[in-house]
Amino acid sequence: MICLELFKTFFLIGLFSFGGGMANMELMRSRVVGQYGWMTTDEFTDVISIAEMTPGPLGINLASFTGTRVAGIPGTICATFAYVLPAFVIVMILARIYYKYRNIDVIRSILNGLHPAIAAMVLAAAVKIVGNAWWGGIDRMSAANTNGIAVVLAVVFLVLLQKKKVGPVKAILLCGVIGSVVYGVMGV
Amino acid sequence: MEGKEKKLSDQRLLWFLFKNCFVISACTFGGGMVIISMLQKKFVEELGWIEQKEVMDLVAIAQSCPGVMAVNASMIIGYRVAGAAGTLMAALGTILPPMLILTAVSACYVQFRENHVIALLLRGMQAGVAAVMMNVTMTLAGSVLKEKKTLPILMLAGASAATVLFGVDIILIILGCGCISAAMAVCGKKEAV
Repeated sequence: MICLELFKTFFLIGLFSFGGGMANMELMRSRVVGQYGWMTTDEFTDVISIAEMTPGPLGINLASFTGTRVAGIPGTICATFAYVLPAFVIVMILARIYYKYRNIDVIRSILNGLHPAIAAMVLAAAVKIVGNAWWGGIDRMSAANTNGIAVVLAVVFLVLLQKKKVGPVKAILLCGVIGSVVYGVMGV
Repeated sequence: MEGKEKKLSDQRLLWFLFKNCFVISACTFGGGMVIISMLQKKFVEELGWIEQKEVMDLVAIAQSCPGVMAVNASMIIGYRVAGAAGTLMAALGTILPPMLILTAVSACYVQFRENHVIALLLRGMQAGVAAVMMNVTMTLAGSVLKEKKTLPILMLAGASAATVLFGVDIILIILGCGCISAAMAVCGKKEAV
Protein backbone atom coordinates (compact mmCIF):
# COMPACT_ATOMS: atom_id res chain seq x y z
CA MET A 1 0.00 0.00 0.00
CA ILE A 2 2.82 2.34 0.89
CA CYS A 3 4.29 1.55 -2.54
CA LEU A 4 1.07 2.65 -4.22
CA GLU A 5 1.20 5.86 -2.20
CA LEU A 6 4.82 6.38 -3.27
CA PHE A 7 3.94 5.70 -6.89
CA LYS A 8 1.06 8.16 -6.84
CA THR A 9 3.07 10.86 -5.12
CA PHE A 10 6.12 10.63 -7.35
CA PHE A 11 4.05 10.35 -10.52
CA LEU A 12 2.44 13.66 -9.57
CA ILE A 13 5.81 15.21 -8.68
CA GLY A 14 7.22 14.01 -12.01
CA LEU A 15 4.28 15.43 -13.90
CA PHE A 16 4.61 18.88 -12.36
CA SER A 17 8.40 19.19 -12.19
CA PHE A 18 9.43 22.04 -14.46
CA GLY A 19 12.74 23.87 -14.47
CA GLY A 20 14.87 20.99 -13.25
CA GLY A 21 17.00 20.23 -10.21
CA MET A 22 16.78 22.76 -7.41
CA ALA A 23 13.64 24.34 -8.87
CA ASN A 24 11.57 21.31 -7.90
CA MET A 25 12.81 20.98 -4.35
CA GLU A 26 9.75 22.69 -2.94
CA LEU A 27 7.31 20.43 -4.78
CA MET A 28 9.21 17.40 -3.52
CA ARG A 29 9.56 18.83 0.00
CA SER A 30 5.89 19.79 0.28
CA ARG A 31 4.88 16.19 -0.46
CA VAL A 32 7.65 14.16 1.19
CA VAL A 33 8.08 16.29 4.34
CA GLY A 34 4.84 18.25 4.58
CA GLN A 35 2.03 16.01 3.38
CA TYR A 36 3.26 12.52 4.25
CA GLY A 37 5.91 13.14 6.90
CA TRP A 38 8.19 10.56 5.33
CA MET A 39 11.18 12.71 6.32
CA THR A 40 12.02 15.71 8.50
CA THR A 41 13.31 18.96 6.98
CA ASP A 42 16.72 18.13 8.49
CA GLU A 43 16.79 14.77 6.74
CA PHE A 44 15.59 16.38 3.53
CA THR A 45 18.47 18.88 3.62
CA ASP A 46 20.89 15.99 4.26
CA VAL A 47 19.51 14.23 1.22
CA ILE A 48 20.13 17.29 -0.96
CA SER A 49 23.75 17.33 0.29
CA ILE A 50 24.13 13.60 -0.39
CA ALA A 51 22.37 13.81 -3.75
CA GLU A 52 24.66 16.65 -4.84
CA MET A 53 27.72 14.54 -3.95
CA THR A 54 26.62 11.44 -5.87
CA PRO A 55 26.48 11.24 -9.66
CA GLY A 56 23.23 11.47 -11.58
CA PRO A 57 20.41 14.01 -11.71
CA LEU A 58 19.23 15.46 -8.41
CA GLY A 59 15.56 14.56 -8.89
CA ILE A 60 16.28 10.88 -9.56
CA ASN A 61 18.59 10.77 -6.55
CA LEU A 62 15.90 12.22 -4.28
CA ALA A 63 13.20 9.89 -5.59
CA SER A 64 15.42 6.81 -5.13
CA PHE A 65 16.55 7.86 -1.66
CA THR A 66 13.02 8.61 -0.46
CA GLY A 67 11.66 5.37 -1.93
CA THR A 68 14.29 3.27 -0.18
CA ARG A 69 13.84 5.09 3.13
CA VAL A 70 10.09 4.62 3.08
CA ALA A 71 9.70 1.08 1.71
CA GLY A 72 13.02 -0.57 0.88
CA ILE A 73 13.90 -1.80 -2.61
CA PRO A 74 10.27 -2.03 -3.84
CA GLY A 75 9.88 1.57 -2.68
CA THR A 76 12.91 2.65 -4.70
CA ILE A 77 11.56 1.04 -7.84
CA CYS A 78 8.07 2.52 -7.38
CA ALA A 79 9.27 6.04 -6.58
CA THR A 80 11.92 6.27 -9.28
CA PHE A 81 9.90 4.79 -12.13
CA ALA A 82 6.78 6.73 -11.18
CA TYR A 83 8.87 9.89 -11.17
CA VAL A 84 10.13 9.33 -14.75
CA LEU A 85 6.95 7.86 -16.24
CA PRO A 86 5.09 11.13 -17.07
CA ALA A 87 8.20 12.53 -18.79
CA PHE A 88 8.65 9.28 -20.70
CA VAL A 89 5.19 9.54 -22.23
CA ILE A 90 5.32 13.29 -22.86
CA VAL A 91 8.83 13.18 -24.36
CA MET A 92 7.74 10.52 -26.85
CA ILE A 93 4.71 12.55 -27.89
CA LEU A 94 6.66 15.82 -28.21
CA ALA A 95 9.57 14.16 -30.01
CA ARG A 96 7.09 12.75 -32.52
CA ILE A 97 5.50 16.13 -33.03
CA TYR A 98 8.91 17.77 -33.29
CA TYR A 99 10.18 15.47 -36.01
CA LYS A 100 6.91 15.93 -37.87
CA TYR A 101 6.59 19.70 -37.61
CA ARG A 102 9.85 20.94 -36.07
CA ASN A 103 8.01 23.87 -34.62
CA ILE A 104 7.12 24.13 -30.98
CA ASP A 105 7.11 27.92 -30.55
CA VAL A 106 3.66 28.05 -28.96
CA ILE A 107 4.55 25.38 -26.39
CA ARG A 108 7.80 27.22 -25.73
CA SER A 109 6.06 30.55 -25.11
CA ILE A 110 3.53 28.93 -22.78
CA LEU A 111 6.38 27.35 -20.86
CA ASN A 112 8.20 30.67 -20.63
CA GLY A 113 5.15 31.82 -18.72
CA LEU A 114 5.91 29.25 -16.04
CA HIS A 115 9.15 31.04 -15.08
CA PRO A 116 7.50 33.19 -12.38
CA ALA A 117 5.90 30.10 -10.81
CA ILE A 118 9.21 28.27 -10.83
CA ALA A 119 11.03 31.22 -9.27
CA ALA A 120 8.35 31.41 -6.58
CA MET A 121 8.73 27.69 -5.90
CA VAL A 122 12.45 27.99 -5.41
CA LEU A 123 11.90 30.95 -3.13
CA ALA A 124 9.52 28.91 -0.99
CA ALA A 125 12.03 26.05 -0.70
CA ALA A 126 14.80 28.53 0.14
CA VAL A 127 12.71 30.05 2.95
CA LYS A 128 12.17 26.61 4.50
CA ILE A 129 15.75 25.41 4.15
CA VAL A 130 17.38 28.66 5.25
CA GLY A 131 14.97 28.86 8.18
CA ASN A 132 15.92 25.37 9.20
CA ALA A 133 19.66 26.01 8.98
CA TRP A 134 19.53 29.34 10.83
CA TRP A 135 16.81 28.89 13.45
CA GLY A 136 15.99 25.18 13.42
CA GLY A 137 12.76 25.94 11.56
CA ILE A 138 11.30 29.13 10.08
CA ASP A 139 8.48 29.20 12.66
CA ARG A 140 11.06 29.40 15.46
CA MET A 141 12.68 32.53 14.07
CA SER A 142 14.05 34.72 16.89
CA ALA A 143 17.32 36.43 17.77
CA ALA A 144 18.00 34.07 20.70
CA ASN A 145 17.44 31.03 18.53
CA THR A 146 19.80 32.05 15.76
CA ASN A 147 22.64 29.71 14.82
CA GLY A 148 25.28 32.39 14.19
CA ILE A 149 27.78 29.98 12.66
CA ALA A 150 25.25 28.85 10.06
CA VAL A 151 24.30 32.45 9.25
CA VAL A 152 27.93 33.49 8.71
CA LEU A 153 28.73 30.37 6.66
CA ALA A 154 25.64 30.71 4.48
CA VAL A 155 26.25 34.41 3.79
CA VAL A 156 29.95 33.87 3.00
CA PHE A 157 29.15 31.02 0.63
CA LEU A 158 26.30 32.95 -0.95
CA VAL A 159 28.81 35.68 -1.85
CA LEU A 160 31.26 33.04 -3.15
CA LEU A 161 28.54 31.44 -5.30
CA GLN A 162 27.38 34.81 -6.57
CA LYS A 163 30.69 36.58 -7.20
CA LYS A 164 33.35 33.91 -7.55
CA LYS A 165 31.25 31.43 -9.53
CA VAL A 166 32.11 28.56 -7.18
CA GLY A 167 30.15 25.44 -8.18
CA PRO A 168 27.32 24.31 -5.87
CA VAL A 169 28.89 20.92 -5.13
CA LYS A 170 32.18 22.50 -4.13
CA ALA A 171 30.37 25.12 -2.04
CA ILE A 172 28.32 22.55 -0.11
CA LEU A 173 31.33 20.29 0.51
CA LEU A 174 33.60 23.13 1.57
CA CYS A 175 30.88 24.51 3.82
CA GLY A 176 30.53 21.07 5.38
CA VAL A 177 34.24 20.80 6.12
CA ILE A 178 34.55 24.31 7.57
CA GLY A 179 31.27 23.97 9.45
CA SER A 180 32.16 20.64 11.02
CA VAL A 181 35.52 21.97 12.20
CA VAL A 182 33.91 25.08 13.72
CA TYR A 183 31.07 23.11 15.34
CA GLY A 184 33.59 20.53 16.60
CA VAL A 185 36.02 23.09 18.07
CA MET A 186 33.27 25.13 19.74
CA GLY A 187 31.57 22.00 21.00
CA VAL A 188 28.08 23.00 19.88
CA MET B 1 14.92 6.45 -38.58
CA GLU B 2 16.69 4.76 -41.46
CA GLY B 3 19.83 6.17 -42.98
CA LYS B 4 23.49 6.24 -42.23
CA GLU B 5 23.16 5.88 -38.48
CA LYS B 6 21.71 2.39 -38.89
CA LYS B 7 25.10 0.74 -39.19
CA LEU B 8 24.62 -1.42 -36.12
CA SER B 9 21.99 -4.13 -35.90
CA ASP B 10 18.89 -3.20 -33.87
CA GLN B 11 19.78 -5.16 -30.76
CA ARG B 12 23.35 -3.98 -30.72
CA LEU B 13 22.17 -0.41 -31.28
CA LEU B 14 19.87 -0.58 -28.25
CA TRP B 15 22.61 -2.10 -26.09
CA PHE B 16 24.99 0.59 -27.29
CA LEU B 17 22.49 3.32 -26.35
CA PHE B 18 21.95 1.79 -22.91
CA LYS B 19 25.68 1.42 -22.27
CA ASN B 20 26.51 4.98 -23.26
CA CYS B 21 23.70 6.51 -21.24
CA PHE B 22 24.65 4.34 -18.25
CA VAL B 23 28.30 5.42 -18.32
CA ILE B 24 27.48 9.10 -18.83
CA SER B 25 24.94 9.09 -16.00
CA ALA B 26 27.23 7.16 -13.63
CA CYS B 27 30.14 9.55 -14.15
CA THR B 28 28.35 12.88 -14.21
CA PHE B 29 28.11 15.00 -11.11
CA GLY B 30 25.86 18.03 -11.04
CA GLY B 31 23.13 16.86 -13.41
CA GLY B 32 21.22 19.07 -15.85
CA MET B 33 23.36 20.96 -18.30
CA VAL B 34 26.45 18.94 -17.40
CA ILE B 35 24.83 15.73 -18.65
CA ILE B 36 23.57 17.53 -21.76
CA SER B 37 27.10 18.60 -22.64
CA MET B 38 28.33 15.00 -22.13
CA LEU B 39 25.57 13.66 -24.40
CA GLN B 40 26.41 16.32 -26.95
CA LYS B 41 30.09 15.32 -26.94
CA LYS B 42 29.23 11.65 -27.41
CA PHE B 43 26.36 11.66 -29.87
CA VAL B 44 27.12 14.79 -31.89
CA GLU B 45 30.89 15.18 -31.91
CA GLU B 46 32.02 11.56 -31.58
CA LEU B 47 29.32 9.58 -33.35
CA GLY B 48 27.79 12.24 -35.59
CA TRP B 49 24.33 10.72 -35.15
CA ILE B 50 22.75 14.06 -34.36
CA GLU B 51 23.37 17.45 -35.94
CA GLN B 52 24.67 20.34 -33.90
CA LYS B 53 21.68 22.60 -34.65
CA GLU B 54 19.31 19.80 -33.68
CA VAL B 55 20.78 19.79 -30.19
CA MET B 56 19.31 23.19 -29.27
CA ASP B 57 15.86 21.96 -30.26
CA LEU B 58 16.36 18.76 -28.30
CA VAL B 59 17.27 20.78 -25.22
CA ALA B 60 14.19 22.95 -25.76
CA ILE B 61 11.97 19.86 -25.94
CA ALA B 62 13.70 18.37 -22.89
CA GLN B 63 13.04 21.57 -20.96
CA SER B 64 9.45 21.75 -22.20
CA CYS B 65 8.66 18.35 -20.75
CA PRO B 66 8.18 17.96 -17.02
CA GLY B 67 10.63 15.81 -15.09
CA VAL B 68 14.40 15.63 -15.08
CA MET B 69 15.92 17.43 -18.03
CA ALA B 70 18.94 15.13 -18.30
CA VAL B 71 16.72 12.05 -18.48
CA ASN B 72 14.44 13.78 -20.97
CA ALA B 73 17.38 14.71 -23.19
CA SER B 74 18.73 11.16 -23.28
CA MET B 75 15.22 9.83 -23.98
CA ILE B 76 14.89 12.17 -26.98
CA ILE B 77 18.25 11.01 -28.29
CA GLY B 78 17.09 7.43 -27.78
CA TYR B 79 13.90 8.19 -29.70
CA ARG B 80 15.84 9.85 -32.51
CA VAL B 81 18.23 6.91 -32.84
CA ALA B 82 15.91 3.94 -32.34
CA GLY B 83 12.27 4.97 -31.78
CA ALA B 84 10.23 3.88 -28.75
CA ALA B 85 12.58 1.03 -27.80
CA GLY B 86 15.46 3.47 -27.92
CA THR B 87 13.60 5.86 -25.63
CA LEU B 88 13.14 3.08 -23.10
CA MET B 89 16.77 1.92 -23.21
CA ALA B 90 18.11 5.46 -22.89
CA ALA B 91 15.79 6.11 -19.94
CA LEU B 92 16.84 2.91 -18.16
CA GLY B 93 20.51 3.59 -18.78
CA THR B 94 20.27 7.08 -17.36
CA ILE B 95 18.14 6.18 -14.33
CA LEU B 96 19.84 2.99 -13.15
CA PRO B 97 23.21 4.33 -11.90
CA PRO B 98 21.82 7.01 -9.55
CA MET B 99 19.07 4.60 -8.47
CA LEU B 100 21.56 1.91 -7.43
CA ILE B 101 23.90 4.35 -5.71
CA LEU B 102 21.17 6.12 -3.76
CA THR B 103 19.57 2.84 -2.70
CA ALA B 104 22.89 1.84 -1.13
CA VAL B 105 23.35 5.26 0.50
CA SER B 106 19.77 5.29 1.75
CA ALA B 107 20.10 1.83 3.29
CA CYS B 108 23.11 2.99 5.31
CA TYR B 109 21.74 6.44 6.10
CA VAL B 110 20.97 5.83 9.79
CA GLN B 111 24.43 4.40 10.59
CA PHE B 112 25.90 7.12 8.41
CA ARG B 113 24.01 9.86 10.27
CA GLU B 114 24.94 8.51 13.74
CA ASN B 115 28.66 8.77 13.06
CA HIS B 116 29.78 11.85 15.01
CA VAL B 117 32.11 13.25 12.33
CA ILE B 118 29.60 12.75 9.53
CA ALA B 119 26.82 14.30 11.63
CA LEU B 120 28.99 17.40 12.08
CA LEU B 121 29.83 17.45 8.38
CA LEU B 122 26.16 17.19 7.40
CA ARG B 123 25.31 19.95 9.87
CA GLY B 124 27.97 22.15 8.30
CA MET B 125 26.62 21.37 4.86
CA GLN B 126 23.14 22.58 5.83
CA ALA B 127 24.46 26.13 5.69
CA GLY B 128 25.98 25.36 2.29
CA VAL B 129 22.65 24.08 0.96
CA ALA B 130 21.00 27.21 2.36
CA ALA B 131 23.52 29.34 0.46
CA VAL B 132 22.92 27.41 -2.77
CA MET B 133 19.15 27.80 -2.39
CA MET B 134 19.46 31.55 -1.85
CA ASN B 135 21.77 31.77 -4.85
CA VAL B 136 19.38 29.87 -7.15
CA THR B 137 16.42 31.95 -5.91
CA MET B 138 18.23 35.19 -6.68
CA THR B 139 19.26 33.98 -10.15
CA LEU B 140 15.76 32.78 -11.12
CA ALA B 141 13.83 35.66 -9.62
CA GLY B 142 16.44 38.03 -11.09
CA SER B 143 15.91 36.65 -14.60
CA VAL B 144 12.16 37.27 -14.29
CA LEU B 145 12.69 40.80 -12.93
CA LYS B 146 15.30 41.65 -15.57
CA GLU B 147 12.78 41.26 -18.37
CA LYS B 148 11.01 44.31 -16.93
CA LYS B 149 7.57 43.15 -18.01
CA THR B 150 4.64 43.85 -15.75
CA LEU B 151 2.76 40.58 -15.99
CA PRO B 152 5.59 38.15 -15.14
CA ILE B 153 6.66 40.37 -12.24
CA LEU B 154 3.09 40.47 -10.92
CA MET B 155 2.87 36.71 -11.37
CA LEU B 156 6.13 36.24 -9.48
CA ALA B 157 4.93 38.42 -6.60
CA GLY B 158 1.54 36.74 -6.50
CA ALA B 159 2.95 33.23 -6.71
CA SER B 160 5.56 33.92 -4.03
CA ALA B 161 3.01 35.38 -1.64
CA ALA B 162 0.60 32.52 -2.29
CA THR B 163 3.12 29.79 -1.55
CA VAL B 164 5.26 31.38 1.20
CA LEU B 165 2.58 33.25 3.15
CA PHE B 166 -0.61 31.32 2.46
CA GLY B 167 0.77 27.83 1.80
CA VAL B 168 -1.09 27.40 -1.49
CA ASP B 169 -0.21 24.09 -3.19
CA ILE B 170 2.62 24.41 -5.74
CA ILE B 171 0.72 22.38 -8.32
CA LEU B 172 -2.14 24.89 -8.28
CA ILE B 173 0.35 27.74 -8.74
CA ILE B 174 1.98 26.03 -11.73
CA LEU B 175 -1.43 25.33 -13.28
CA GLY B 176 -2.49 28.94 -12.66
CA CYS B 177 0.62 30.45 -14.25
CA GLY B 178 0.36 27.96 -17.11
CA CYS B 179 -3.25 28.96 -17.80
CA ILE B 180 -2.43 32.68 -17.71
CA SER B 181 0.50 32.32 -20.10
CA ALA B 182 -1.45 29.97 -22.38
CA ALA B 183 -4.24 32.55 -22.56
CA MET B 184 -1.72 35.27 -23.36
CA ALA B 185 -0.05 33.14 -26.04
CA VAL B 186 -3.35 32.31 -27.67
CA CYS B 187 -4.39 35.97 -27.66
CA GLY B 188 -1.20 36.70 -29.62
CA LYS B 189 0.27 38.78 -26.85
CA LYS B 190 3.45 36.77 -26.80
CA GLU B 191 5.54 39.79 -25.89
CA ALA B 192 3.81 39.91 -22.51
CA VAL B 193 4.66 36.32 -21.65
